[in-house]
Amino acid sequence: MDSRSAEAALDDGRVAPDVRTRIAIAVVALVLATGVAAAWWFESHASAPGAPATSNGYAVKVTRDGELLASYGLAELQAMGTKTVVVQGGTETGPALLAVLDRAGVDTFTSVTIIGTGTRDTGRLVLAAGDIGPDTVLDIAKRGTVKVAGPNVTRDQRVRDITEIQVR
Amino acid sequence: MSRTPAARMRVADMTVIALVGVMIVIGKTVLRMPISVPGHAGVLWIAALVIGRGVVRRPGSATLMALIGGLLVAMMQPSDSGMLFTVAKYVIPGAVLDGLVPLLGGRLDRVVPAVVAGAAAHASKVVVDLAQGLIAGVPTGVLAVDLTAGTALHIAFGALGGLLGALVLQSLIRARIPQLADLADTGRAS
Repeated sequence: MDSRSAEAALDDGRVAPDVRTRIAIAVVALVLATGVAAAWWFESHASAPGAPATSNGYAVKVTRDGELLASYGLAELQAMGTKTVVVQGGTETGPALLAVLDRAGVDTFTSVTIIGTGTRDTGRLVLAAGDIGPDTVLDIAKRGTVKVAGPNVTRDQRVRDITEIQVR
Repeated sequence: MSRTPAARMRVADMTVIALVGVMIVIGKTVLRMPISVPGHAGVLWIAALVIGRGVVRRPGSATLMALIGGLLVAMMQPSDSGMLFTVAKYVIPGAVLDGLVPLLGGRLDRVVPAVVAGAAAHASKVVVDLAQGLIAGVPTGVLAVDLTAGTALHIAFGALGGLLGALVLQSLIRARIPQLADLADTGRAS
């Protein structure tokens, strides 16, 4: 019996909604609860509470034409000096993007492509040189990664968990 | 030359499948809400998927709708994660929904099965996200941050999408659209 005829049989009352449906609902609910528990276990074991965010191996690469110019861990980004800006009603704190590029030895550029892991957004944003001002920052998020924020970057455009800045 | 009822049905089903594919991309891109809560867009596209699967009622139809929606999203919002993962983020939930519908009694107009199916389908997207991160070489410490909240939120928004889908399906049944006319006759649409 295919699912369509099974559904028709259910509708006709020829097959009473049986215990199997309730068991299936209970099993799926249990699987979902197990998934949340597994996520909690993974989260608590992969990053110890209170551990410095740098311990997770996170780094932001600055590249030009495929060549690695620099790679900065979270501590190095924080050491560059942080700036707090208020954009789109929120407070974002982190090193200025221009400062990071300057530290990497980038003096002139026409645009940069911000690349992220893409698990929480599109993972890609192209900013022309004119879009990047002193208030464009790499906000240091609680999750120990950085995201781009600034007056010319709308909330929808923001790239989180940045892994690379490609300079052109 | 007249078409057989089966052929007409197939055309009608394909129309719904294509429409839901478009609804998914609209829900994901155009109607995206400017809130930074992981998984919130799922309310709309999971609801679209539940409505589509509830109307078409053919095995594999949710996967097909999700495939069309995923391809459209990949074209409209190209990301560095590549088309494969972008499409997988929709196809896997679609397949989960297809797999669960027969097990949950085959009626997505009922609230509890729709909520459970929507939650499970949307939760499966987290697995794709994790796989994508691991394959991309993202450190596990980064992937793990906020994973519990992210998983729970995906389940919650998926459940909400399932609820929304069930309520819309109930309205469609009451409106006696041709595909659901047989369900209206059973008087069990509430």
